[in-house]
Amino acid sequence: MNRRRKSIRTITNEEGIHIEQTAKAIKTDAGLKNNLRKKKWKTFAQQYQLILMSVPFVGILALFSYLPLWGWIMAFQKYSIGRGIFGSEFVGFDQFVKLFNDDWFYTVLRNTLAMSLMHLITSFAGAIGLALLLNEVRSRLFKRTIQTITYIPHFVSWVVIASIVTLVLSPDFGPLNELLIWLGIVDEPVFFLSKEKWFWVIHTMAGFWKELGWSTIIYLAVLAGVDPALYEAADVDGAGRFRKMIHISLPGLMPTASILLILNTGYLIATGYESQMLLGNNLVMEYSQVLDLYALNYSMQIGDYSYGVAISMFKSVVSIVLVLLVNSWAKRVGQSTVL
Amino acid sequence: MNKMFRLLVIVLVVAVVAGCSGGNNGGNGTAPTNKPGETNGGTQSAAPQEPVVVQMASLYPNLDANNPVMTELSKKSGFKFDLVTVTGDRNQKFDLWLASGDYPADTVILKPDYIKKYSDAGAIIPLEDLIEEHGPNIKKHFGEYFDLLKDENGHIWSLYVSNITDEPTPTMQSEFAVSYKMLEEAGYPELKTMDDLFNLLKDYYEKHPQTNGQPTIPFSGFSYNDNTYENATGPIFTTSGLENHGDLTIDENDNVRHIFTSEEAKTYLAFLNKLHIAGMLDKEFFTLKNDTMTQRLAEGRVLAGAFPSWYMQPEVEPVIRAAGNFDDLYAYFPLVFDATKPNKNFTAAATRSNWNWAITSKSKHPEEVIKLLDYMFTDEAQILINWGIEGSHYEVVDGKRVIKEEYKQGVAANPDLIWSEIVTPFYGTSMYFAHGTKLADGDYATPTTRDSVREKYDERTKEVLAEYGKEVWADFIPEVNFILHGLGQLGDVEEVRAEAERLKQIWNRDTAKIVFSASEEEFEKQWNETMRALEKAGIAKVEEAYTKLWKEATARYSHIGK
Amino acid sequence: MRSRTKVGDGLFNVFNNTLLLLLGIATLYPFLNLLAVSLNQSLDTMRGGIYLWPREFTLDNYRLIFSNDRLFDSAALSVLRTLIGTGLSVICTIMVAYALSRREYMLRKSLNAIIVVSMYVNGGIIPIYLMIKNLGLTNTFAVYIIPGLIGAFNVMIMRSYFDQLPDGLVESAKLDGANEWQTLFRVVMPISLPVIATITLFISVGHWNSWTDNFLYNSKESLTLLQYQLMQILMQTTEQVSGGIGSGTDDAILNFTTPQSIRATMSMVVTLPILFVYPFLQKYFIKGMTLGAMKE
Repeated sequence: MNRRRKSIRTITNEEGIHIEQTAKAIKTDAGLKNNLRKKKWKTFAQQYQLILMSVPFVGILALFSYLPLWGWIMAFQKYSIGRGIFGSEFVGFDQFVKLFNDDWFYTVLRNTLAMSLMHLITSFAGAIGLALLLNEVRSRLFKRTIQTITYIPHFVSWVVIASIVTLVLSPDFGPLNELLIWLGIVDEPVFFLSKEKWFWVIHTMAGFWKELGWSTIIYLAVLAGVDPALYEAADVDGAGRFRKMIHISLPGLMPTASILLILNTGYLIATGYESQMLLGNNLVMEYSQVLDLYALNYSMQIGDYSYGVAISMFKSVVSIVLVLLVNSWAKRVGQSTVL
Repeated sequence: MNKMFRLLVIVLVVAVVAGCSGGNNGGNGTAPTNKPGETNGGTQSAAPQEPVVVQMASLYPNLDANNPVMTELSKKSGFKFDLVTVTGDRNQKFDLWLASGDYPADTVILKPDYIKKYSDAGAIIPLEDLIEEHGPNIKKHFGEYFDLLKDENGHIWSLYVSNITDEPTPTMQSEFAVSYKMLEEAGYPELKTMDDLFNLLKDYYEKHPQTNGQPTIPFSGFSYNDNTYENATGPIFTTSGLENHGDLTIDENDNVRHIFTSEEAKTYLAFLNKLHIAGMLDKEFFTLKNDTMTQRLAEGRVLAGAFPSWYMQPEVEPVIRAAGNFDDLYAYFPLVFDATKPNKNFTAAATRSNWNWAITSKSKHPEEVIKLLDYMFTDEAQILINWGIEGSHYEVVDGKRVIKEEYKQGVAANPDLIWSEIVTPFYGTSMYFAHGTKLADGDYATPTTRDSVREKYDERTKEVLAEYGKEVWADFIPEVNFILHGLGQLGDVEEVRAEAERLKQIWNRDTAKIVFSASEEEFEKQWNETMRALEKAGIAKVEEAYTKLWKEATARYSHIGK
Repeated sequence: MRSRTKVGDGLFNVFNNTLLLLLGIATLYPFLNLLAVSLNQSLDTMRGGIYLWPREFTLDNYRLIFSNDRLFDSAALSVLRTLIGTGLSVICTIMVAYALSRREYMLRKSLNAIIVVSMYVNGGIIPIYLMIKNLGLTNTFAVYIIPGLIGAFNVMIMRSYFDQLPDGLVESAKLDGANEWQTLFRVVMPISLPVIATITLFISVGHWNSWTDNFLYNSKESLTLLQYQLMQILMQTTEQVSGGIGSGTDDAILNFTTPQSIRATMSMVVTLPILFVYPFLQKYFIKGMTLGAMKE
């Protein structure tokens, strides 16, 4: 109703009688605020169920996520656990200055973003692709079996995955080298894990193998919800398998994919360090060290708490900015958004 | 849908019920009622009236708090123990404890750097007065070295035992492992210098490029945490006879030098480079992790390498022995570059300060707690925690303590037996006398003696040792260098922690480049580059800071001993 | 025309199935390997070369883990936590997601922002610990349930799914006089089973595998979870061999088994229950929308 008349507002007063006022009159109406508030209360009353459904629980989330942020003060101090927040010296932006002046910080930042981006792209393409392929399988048993098997590496710890990868790539009669020699592609074993430029690829592939099956689950669930009638209609139109995949299945996945993409972009900078540490070594350090490992080495391990909090703040800011960017881009191309 | 609703209701009800009762579940801990005041602890084993409960941090989750030794200890000392276990990322837990005040009520076990943190924050109390009043055994034990416990203000913040032993630890062994097979073929030569080793390797490798169908690897190594400590840094100290204080060493003028920029480091890396150029260095020298290293050693392909005893003894030797390949075992020689220089590498510090015991400021009865800790310094207590209970774990034969056969068999079959039989929270901390210490009765404080060590050897090992006229690997070690304290026992210098970390990083990144240089010229070039980078990163600052720390401590303790 | 698509179809099937089979083999390998290692004598495993079969079969590794008398209690507690935690979390997540999917909801945008931003901020271990302590949640069962009650990710996934549902569905329910609760539980939920099953899977796995909250907040033995218990065994063993406490040049302490073997056995013990639960939920991935179609 509001859209039809741009300059005239419709206001409901207590008795429920619609009163139309002109824009000028609106500004001079003394009871306007009162009426607006009443409107809010009415909506409140109408939506109390929705409020009950959401506010308490979001409240808990907010409590545990936002309240501890008072700890961010530590980033502006030289925090000492013994002296606590009130006893520690205030140093302003020193910690951040230290961070941005450190050359190594930029190296690890580059490594972090590169590996995350590679992982994001491959896992997305892979998960969606695998979901679509699995969806095409006729035999229910085969589909379910393969699906169950593929997500198992998700539960295997990185320690084991890394040792398997190291074994496979070993220059000391590792399977991959044996295969390459047998195929005549190389003459001597290649020491893959010592080549720094290869590290990002190796890490991404290991991560892909580990997480592919698990990431596919959500897409399969979404596909299961696509209206079968759409497929039937397409059959009638004579569409082949491929066209059905591209024009029905894929669009069905897009909303979920879009949301997951946006949310995962925020994590581009927060990768953890376990996998990089396990697969990496001193030879490839320049390409394998990531921000979280940097934070571990230069803050937690040496007891410089403040530095770690400063890095954490930096990560939060970057994450939110990334999410906002990707979110608005998604909006512009007409996909589902998060905010 | 109604079905779902019902299910949800059931779940919610269960949740409420469980939530109320879950937190109050009685545990299986040893936490009897605490009657304040009344106690009769101390060194007498009189009948306890109301035993005092002491809440202690314990580093072992597998420890059975009711095992025979714990029970006996409780009886003898008159205290009851309430254990709070800390595992995993202990430093994180210690930090949380400090920040929240949630540390155990009576005692904590911390390393020197955390002792400092806690004492700065007032979480632990100074002990010197308590020791004056209630700690006669502590004073007796330390004798003239008592002042080593004090800091620059005369306060004693934590307790640990002294390391003044009559005999060196019999389980000690040198770093350089040399394959039995190679020694046998060469007729068990005397190996004293690194050059001796190099020549021996060269000869053997020429004759045996393959072992068991796979390429032989003359020299290998690895580092436990990718920090090049075991393969590149540690051996620098041993091969040049330097005192090992972490990444630092101390010269004759009590100046602290960083090992990364030292001549000795260059010498050792040059040696590795020489091996590399001769094709005798493992390609994966800088990338092997402990699992893969153990595999390689168990395959019997590695001829020599520098490996610490705390890796070889528990991780490698059992594997090789279990497989029955005794020829693949290794001899351990203290090799150096220059055999004419004095070897000060085998140091023994005067105290065992490592995982030390402190009393917290929350304790309601610190006098009782100090009495307990004091009791631990008595011979009776040491026998209890090291040997066990007479009749159950050991017996006295011809006036000497001997572990009972049944118990020995039991542990051999199931090493986890120790947790349910003999382990106390004092195990592995700085509260048990060093191996080789003799008690007042003339017998050893711990079961680890030359004989017990020799018993664990297999026949082949004994043969090899006999060829050299020795009985245990510790026999090869030149004299022990006795020092008052190690730099690591003095704690960190906070201001240079970041620099120290950065130096480590540069070193970790560059050592491989240096060692894998293809020629001597390249070696020089890489070495100089790294030296420049280290200097820029503040190596002088670190050296200065620790020299200051060291000199202060030396001055403070100059009146002790000698 | 027909035969061409039939051939194309068949070819595609062969290609697809082969690819999936290869993928299955590649991802099954770690599991088989861990199984073999867990059934192999620990010292022998350290020699390397164990791939798909144990070389020296033994049940010692399992015996070690199961001989731990607290194992049953901690497993029972983990099951309880998973059931209660999952049940409550799923319901709350559904409710929040539903509310956020209603376009007319006045708090929609703000709650949404609160949830999303919460994913990327972290106060640090110490502030969070202090807060948990001040709320009286240390050494309680509740600390396993309440702080993680709703997960932002799951809410977003669920909300996205609800957003996709045809408007007519909710409108016709409202016209029939249903309030929000009834709409949610009687109309929307039944046709959202695939996604609900997925969320249930994610949440239950999260609860089952979780141990850091145990480590950080609960030290009472009676509140120990299975994963944490196993972690303790692993950490203790690893320490004793890696030059940590209890080792050193003083005593070569032998373990009953090595860290590698323990890790493998742990993986089996912890993962197998999940593998059994999953097929249960799989059937919901197929039902779903058929009911919805009928409603339309």
